[in-house]
Amino acid sequence: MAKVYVFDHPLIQHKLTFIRDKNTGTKEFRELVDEVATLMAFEITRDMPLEDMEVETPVQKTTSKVLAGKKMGLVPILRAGIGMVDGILKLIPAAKVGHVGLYRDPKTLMPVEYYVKLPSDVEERDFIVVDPMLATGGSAIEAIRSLKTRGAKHIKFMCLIAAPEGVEALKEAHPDVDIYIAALDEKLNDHGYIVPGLGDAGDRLFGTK
Amino acid sequence: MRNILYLTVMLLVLQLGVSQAVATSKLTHPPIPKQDKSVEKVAIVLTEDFESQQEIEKRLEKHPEVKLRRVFKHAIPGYSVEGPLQALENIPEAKQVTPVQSYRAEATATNIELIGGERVRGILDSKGHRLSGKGVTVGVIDTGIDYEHPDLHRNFGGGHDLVDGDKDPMETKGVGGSTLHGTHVSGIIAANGRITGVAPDAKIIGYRALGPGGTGTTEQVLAAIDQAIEDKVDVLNLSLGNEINGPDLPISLAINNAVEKGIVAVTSSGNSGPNRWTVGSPGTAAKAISVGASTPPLKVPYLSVSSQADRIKLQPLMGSEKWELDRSIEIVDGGIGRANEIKNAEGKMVLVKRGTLTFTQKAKNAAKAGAVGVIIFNNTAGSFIGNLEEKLDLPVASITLAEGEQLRKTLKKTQEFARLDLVEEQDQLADFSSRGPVTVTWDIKPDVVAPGVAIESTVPGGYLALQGTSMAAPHVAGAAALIKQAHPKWNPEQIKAALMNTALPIQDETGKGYRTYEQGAGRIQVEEAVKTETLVMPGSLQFGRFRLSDHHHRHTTVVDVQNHSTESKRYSFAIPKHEDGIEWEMPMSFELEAGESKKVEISMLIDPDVFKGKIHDGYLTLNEGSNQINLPYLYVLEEPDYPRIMGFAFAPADKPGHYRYEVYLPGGAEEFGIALFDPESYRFVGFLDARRNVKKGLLEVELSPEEMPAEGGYLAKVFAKKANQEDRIDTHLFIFPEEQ
Repeated sequence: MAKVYVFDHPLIQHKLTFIRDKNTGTKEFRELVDEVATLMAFEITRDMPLEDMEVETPVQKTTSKVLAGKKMGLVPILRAGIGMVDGILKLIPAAKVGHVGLYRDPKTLMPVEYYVKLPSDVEERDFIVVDPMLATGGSAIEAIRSLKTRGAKHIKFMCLIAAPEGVEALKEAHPDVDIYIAALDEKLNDHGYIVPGLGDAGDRLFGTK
Repeated sequence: MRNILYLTVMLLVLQLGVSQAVATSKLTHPPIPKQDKSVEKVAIVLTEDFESQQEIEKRLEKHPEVKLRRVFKHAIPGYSVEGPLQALENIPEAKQVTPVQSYRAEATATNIELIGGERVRGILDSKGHRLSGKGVTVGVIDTGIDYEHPDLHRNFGGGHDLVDGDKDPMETKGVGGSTLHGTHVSGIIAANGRITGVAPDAKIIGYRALGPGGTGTTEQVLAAIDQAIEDKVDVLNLSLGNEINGPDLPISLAINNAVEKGIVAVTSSGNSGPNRWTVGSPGTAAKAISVGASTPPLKVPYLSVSSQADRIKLQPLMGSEKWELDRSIEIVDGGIGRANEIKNAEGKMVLVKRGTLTFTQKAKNAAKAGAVGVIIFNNTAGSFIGNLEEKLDLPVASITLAEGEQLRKTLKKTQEFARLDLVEEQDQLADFSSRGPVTVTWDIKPDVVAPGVAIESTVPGGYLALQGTSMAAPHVAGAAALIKQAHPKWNPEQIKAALMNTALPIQDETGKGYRTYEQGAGRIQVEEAVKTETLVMPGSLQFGRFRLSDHHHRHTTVVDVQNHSTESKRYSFAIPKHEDGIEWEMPMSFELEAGESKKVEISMLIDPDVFKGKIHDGYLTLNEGSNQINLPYLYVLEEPDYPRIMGFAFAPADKPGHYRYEVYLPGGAEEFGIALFDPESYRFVGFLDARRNVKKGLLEVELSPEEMPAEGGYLAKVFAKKANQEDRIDTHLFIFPEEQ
């Protein structure tokens, strides 16, 4: 069963408040999302495997820990997910980046892929799928399905804020995918927006509105 | 067994992980595109050691797209190649790959007298010959040489054409692109006929490295230096340059190598003055003698008008008749210089404003009205130097806007008469002469200055007066030839020291001395250089730089003092003028026996909390009897390092398919670019944008769909380079598919 982690670290909570603030401008919004993504990456890498390595300190020989060299993949959901990529790469520079783009078919209301490109060695990598918002869960569920059909085995999902409805839907669709959230909000409103939320993350990131 | 296998696999993965991390942090982009793509395709490859043609060919076998052009045998360990840029970047065993730069030619009687070239003839060398450059060969790397010129053919000793690849260094001839620069330079060194050069019996070897229009490439100049080393010339003159201020371009390296092999290399500092840091390659080569331009004695016309206390300096237009009016003459206002505006001008001077008509048209209109002189005042602040398109028989000069308006105001009220005074001005630094210091090494360049304004010399088919540091360098090359004749055993370092130790520091018109990084040791004095009995090497002291964050500093430099006379000499340092925050340490006095030399330590102690000057320079004086040796020194307080680039943002623009980016460049950038890499293979894909000389501040750019690469994600390296520091922002960009 999927686990849900809510990062209540004070630094994350503090920055998130200003991300929510509608008076925060595009440039500052972008910087804050970048910073929170870095902080979340710190938390999400907590379970990275380690192994022993022998080093010689100026005093004596000792055995110490190093990363076991797990191959990572980072997949932003277009377009707002891009805003979190640089922040995560600061901590995991060797991660390869892929992309998944989806749109909602106006007739069926189902998400449809319009762009998918993943690192060539999909099966060997541990993936983090990122999107600032988890609302109904439709995009995240479909994006993760895309990864799985292409052979991805280990997937985590990370977002800034989530609605309880979206978390439930994602857990049900992909019980093997752990979910990492900076804040779990109250609910979805009638228009499908997270309440209180932060508005449209894509528009605020790219300054398109 | 299973355990061991598992471990091996893990280690392999670990290494992969690490190497990937290294790969992303060290993504390198090729040089940003040049305006001229054809030049960009040739590069100079520097190697650790000299290699044979076969070795290099073997090495390049794996790169069929790269064509070997030239192997350098002496100038630098390396070779030149041609091919697609990306391939050039991947050449194995290359220490450094530099795309070739283009080089330009930078475009005598009283001047030679000034530097003492005439007086020297009275001195005899060890064989009893007068000093005239006899027995000394001077190589001239330039546009070629008209060896049929009556003043040059006697001293021409052959040469090479590195442009066409033969042994005929004749200047480019024919319509368009014909050259005369090398012939002019050669004449200053060794003309012997109607005009006499500085060393009229020196043998000139011509190396044509600059082709039609006076331009050439790094490769051609390197090939010329290579050949000159093989030919064992004594002195090498390079009156050419580009605008890159840096110490280690291949040509600077090659020149340093030539000096190591015993050749006195003389370069022009460049014509990009009067600002700091304008000295360009190869004038930046540490071991070369880099020469700036001074004005030879000139009679400068000044206008005295009765209504004004200060005299007005006239700047004669190029091609103007000489200003030699010997009585008071009335001035009339001629408007902008149209024929109907110039009235009652018979026998008078006409004042006109710049603009609308050409200088020549204005002057012609004035001449038709019977004027005897034309003064054109500027239409923007400051002064200007104009050119006349044809020969007119009246003098024309320019003055500043302020001076012109003041004069016009007076003319509206009253009749005004003016008198002409000719004032002798000599030994000032030419405005256009490039200034130092050199970035990175903080060397003082130029090393010396020599006459470089209104220099008459030989050109194909006749004679012509030209100006430029190009004309200054051959004066020094000629002087070096004379010293070489007088002291055949002196090495290039000693000859350079002789010229620098005896140079005369010069002052501007207000009597203020020029800074050391503007004039080096000063204007050369050939007679003193030949006669000097003491050499101090190096001729300038370089103390490097310090950072504000550091505290007490001691920077030490060592000079070699040599007594070349036949008697013992006593030396003493003059204590430099006291300045807060600086203390000097050196032996106050010492004695050297005949032929003895001594290494002397000179230390400068700086307290940066007290001493706030940015560039500290001056002259340290070593006294020997009544002789003075002035050693220019320089100490640079480093500017705090600031990031060259900040705040990059990239997003789709309002119009579909368009993108925009913004980036902040706190100090502007010499080179700016957004290099895109494939996120999977880290392969360089291309530049999203690349610019040169971007001004400081926010750069906002919108890119059209045609400028965008294929859809998808890219690793982007956004970089800005300024004053030898490149900073960058690594980011990740996504170009959306059109359907969205």
